[in-house]
Amino acid sequence: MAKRKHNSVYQNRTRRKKAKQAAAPIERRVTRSMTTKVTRQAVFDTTELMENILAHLTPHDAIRAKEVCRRFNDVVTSSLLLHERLFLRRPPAQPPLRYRVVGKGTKSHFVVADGEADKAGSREFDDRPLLTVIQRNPFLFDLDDEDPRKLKARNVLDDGRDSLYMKWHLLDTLQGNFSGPVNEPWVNMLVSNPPVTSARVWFLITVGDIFIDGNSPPVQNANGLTMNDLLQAAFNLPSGMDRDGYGMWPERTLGIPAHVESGMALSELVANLEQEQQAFADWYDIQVVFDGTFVATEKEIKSIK
Amino acid sequence: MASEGEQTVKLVSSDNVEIVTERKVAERSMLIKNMIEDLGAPGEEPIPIMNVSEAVLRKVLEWCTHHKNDPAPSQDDDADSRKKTTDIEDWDQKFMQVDQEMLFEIILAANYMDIKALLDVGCKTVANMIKGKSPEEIRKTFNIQNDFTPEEEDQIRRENEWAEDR
Repeated sequence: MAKRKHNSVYQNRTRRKKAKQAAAPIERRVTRSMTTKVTRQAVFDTTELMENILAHLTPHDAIRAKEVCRRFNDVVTSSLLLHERLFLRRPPAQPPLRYRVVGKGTKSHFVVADGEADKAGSREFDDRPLLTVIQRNPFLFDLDDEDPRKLKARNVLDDGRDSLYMKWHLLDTLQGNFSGPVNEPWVNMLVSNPPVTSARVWFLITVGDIFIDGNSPPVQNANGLTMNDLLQAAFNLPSGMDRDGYGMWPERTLGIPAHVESGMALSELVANLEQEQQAFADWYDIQVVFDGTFVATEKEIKSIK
Repeated sequence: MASEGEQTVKLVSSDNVEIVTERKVAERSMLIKNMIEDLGAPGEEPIPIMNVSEAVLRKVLEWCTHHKNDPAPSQDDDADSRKKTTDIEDWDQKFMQVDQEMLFEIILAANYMDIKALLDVGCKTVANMIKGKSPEEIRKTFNIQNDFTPEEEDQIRRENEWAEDR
């Protein structure tokens, strides 16, 4: 007991002496760093502000920021706003997105297709199974029983190629705005997760009974393809497009009319097709379909082997 | 409008310092703008800015002065400003060259005073401090404690593996 008492007296005395020596500077220094900490914490603790900060990052940086601490991880994982800005994710409260064939003037936009719904449409569009973009996003889907990474990687490498179908109705999203920029929150989203860096894209533009399809030149982005990359590829159509066909459903006629061949901009092409289509006004729909053949990164390939 | 521009208002900081400024400058803050409208007689009654200290308030007003003639933000601005993430105007960039304490104070003040453009500049500045950094570097920059258990950290790192090489 005595010893302890002695110690504490000694400590007190020392503390007092030290405090006297350095009172002012220490106090100022401590206060300064403490208030910085408090201020910073106040910002980081406000979800709204964290979202605003993180929304300015690229999808890559935002995902990596999850590793910083629990708070960062929570915000990136759970912020709906952030997911809508940076990743493909539908709000959980909304019904699943389904592809529908809709007529002119309908308000739907950017619908991700699935095969069943597609077939249920007014016209059989494509028999191949459609993968939803959303399924590739680990924030939404937990590919539980198997190692998610492997599964995802396998998807990317299935038969050495994989397809991603995306459809949306130009009517709503792109009408009158065929040259960009598109001010939609999803333009910065990655098209897939894990990201792919290169895709060849197949396009099908249908106006009424007239369709045109073909492959785009490869679309590339070393940081992972974003929706905007695909949009830009669409805007650059049909120049550089390797056309497969041009015709009237269900027949594919060979030969492409001169005005399509001349490499006009997408807006002009659609306008032209619209004009031609006026004679067949009973059915009208414009769609662009992306069918990407994805190239896996070396790392992804290695992880499978 | 012209007479409004010459009007002044009295603001009082959280540490009780009175600052007189042009009404047009102060009204970059929606909080103040609404208060002035509610008060009816601008310039006479001092407006308390409860959560903002003198130093920060002066800094915020400096920004407001420079941007007092900016057009009012439109609806489209939101989507637009998201897109050009790294773009910060030169003047704003210089303005934001402050220590972290002040940077975060400005963000809190802009949020409280409802100055959206300033809030975005502040958040972009912080975002730029995160960009391209490793998690460890981010922790160092902001003096953040790694509060994950080793297992949790491992798990997230595995999920993120694909994002590592760029």
